[in-house]
Amino acid sequence: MNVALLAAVVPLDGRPRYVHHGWFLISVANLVVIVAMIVVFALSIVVPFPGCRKRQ
Amino acid sequence: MRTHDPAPTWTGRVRRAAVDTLPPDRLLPDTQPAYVQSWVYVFGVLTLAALAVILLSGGVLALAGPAWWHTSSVGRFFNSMHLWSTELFFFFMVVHLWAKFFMAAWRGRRAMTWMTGAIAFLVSIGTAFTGYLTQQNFDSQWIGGQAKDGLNAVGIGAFFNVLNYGQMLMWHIVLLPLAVAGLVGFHVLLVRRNGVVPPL
Repeated sequence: MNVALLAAVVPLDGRPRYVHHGWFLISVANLVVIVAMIVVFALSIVVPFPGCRKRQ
Repeated sequence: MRTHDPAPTWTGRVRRAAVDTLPPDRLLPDTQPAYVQSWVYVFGVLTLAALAVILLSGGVLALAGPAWWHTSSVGRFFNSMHLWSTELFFFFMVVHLWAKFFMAAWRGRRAMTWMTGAIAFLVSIGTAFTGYLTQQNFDSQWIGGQAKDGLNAVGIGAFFNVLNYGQMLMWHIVLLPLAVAGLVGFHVLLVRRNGVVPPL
């Protein structure tokens, strides 16, 4: 199997990247996870559940 | 002859108390209220599923030990599975926590359910922390070196030594998983007993 196919989309063994603005400092990895959690939370509220009937 | 008085044994008393507290139709229900048909209600069970994968992959890692999971490709696979199921566990648990917070899930005599969930979250952080300490790499050295000063400052460094690999491994694979599993089990039983909290 081609090993390149197994490589991560984002290189994981380089120097970590950070978002830094004044007192605010967070790694990009942590920021991505937090944003993803917020997005998933919002979607779970608005996306209809399969087989769920609308209330009359 | 007494006909309705059960035998005065502790096992009988425990059984009657258990059945009274949690009847079988509540322990294993086959229906749920209509409001549970929402994606926001699935994160609790997703957290449980991730916890199951964590415990299973951790069990496989424990069978063969650190030398195996660092050097063999199958061992590295299970090591990665253990890490990524932990990432998903915390991801789902945080979304579950947000959902229950905004639902005020402690309503309807569910305060104990809320508290056991919150404590399980905190103990899970400790379990993950000891896992990071037992990676046996520079990352775990750095985390241990930093945590040592904090734990010494609060006076528990002599009892909980983050630079002691063996002690941290035992906390990670025995004591804290028992605590997490016990708390989560109690949490689920409370959900069964009091029902899933309705939306606001």
